[in-house]
Amino acid sequence: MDFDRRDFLKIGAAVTAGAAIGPVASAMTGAEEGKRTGKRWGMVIDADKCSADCTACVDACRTENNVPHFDDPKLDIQWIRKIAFRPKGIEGAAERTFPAMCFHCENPPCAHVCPVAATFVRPDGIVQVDKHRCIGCRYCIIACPYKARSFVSSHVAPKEGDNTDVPVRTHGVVEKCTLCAHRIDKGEEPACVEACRKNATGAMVFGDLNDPVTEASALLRTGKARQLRADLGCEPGVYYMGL
Amino acid sequence: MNKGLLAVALFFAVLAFPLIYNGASAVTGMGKGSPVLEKGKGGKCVKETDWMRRNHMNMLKHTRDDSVRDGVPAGESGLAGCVSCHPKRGEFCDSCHSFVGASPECWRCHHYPV
Repeated sequence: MDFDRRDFLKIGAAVTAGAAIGPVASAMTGAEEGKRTGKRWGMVIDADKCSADCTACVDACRTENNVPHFDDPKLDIQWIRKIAFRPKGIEGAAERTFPAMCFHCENPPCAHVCPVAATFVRPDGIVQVDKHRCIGCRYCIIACPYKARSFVSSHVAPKEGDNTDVPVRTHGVVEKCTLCAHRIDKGEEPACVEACRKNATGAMVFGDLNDPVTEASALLRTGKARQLRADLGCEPGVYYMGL
Repeated sequence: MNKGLLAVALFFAVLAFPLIYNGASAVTGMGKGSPVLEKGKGGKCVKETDWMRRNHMNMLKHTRDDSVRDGVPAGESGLAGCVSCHPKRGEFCDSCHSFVGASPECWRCHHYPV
């Protein structure tokens, strides 16, 4: 076979182009390759069951996680909050509410932008902030499309009556819902879900979304639950019904 | 000549003064008047006292990263493990830290009764 200089250059160019394009192409198709398997903690919230005047989940979260209260609404820290809305297209529809917290996305923008890798995703799908490492730059607050994050703007010292399982957060870090990871590690469900089931209507269902036997995954299979702003591609782990 | 030898000997004696002054305590890393900690519950720590004196901060950081980031429970080698045997921070952590002038920031967030 004749292998002249022209052939050599052709093959060389082809190999170089392949090496350059290959990883890019696989990264672009990576999003469609399927969701992560294994444990995936998440929640299904039925907005039809959520009553507008109930704050059981919010109160339980504040107590469980020692969330400080600042009077200035700009500085106040909210791990979970009630969002009010009116259904579209219905005349005189009553105002309804649903709770919203960190959605523990599978593609969390907050973790992607963190310059010190303080925000990370645990293998079970919980997005966590390592407050030891957080430098308080607040990129993540800007990146999060669901406004789930808060900045601790002044120091709140540990005090009597705090839940000793959860450290308080010092001035200058960003905090958010941890999905009560400390309770999950003990085999319990998050405080908001427990409060909703015991003191309210049980609108919140917590469980492993990848495990077919859990109630949460059964609700997902009904096809009625959907993510908020699924078009953003963050793959939230919190689904809503009745919205 | 003898004068020179004497001078050299004196020089080294002055040089070694801190070691002699501290005596045996210099070997164990403890200075004069250093606090003596009471033995905690069970009378035995997870590591030897000498090892702990030098390395407890590294151990705590290590277990901290393991438990926060990888979900490996720190158990008795973590901060909560310290609390379980030494219930009062003032008689344990603070007594040494104030002696050596160290001010770790653990207590700004973590719960440890004074």
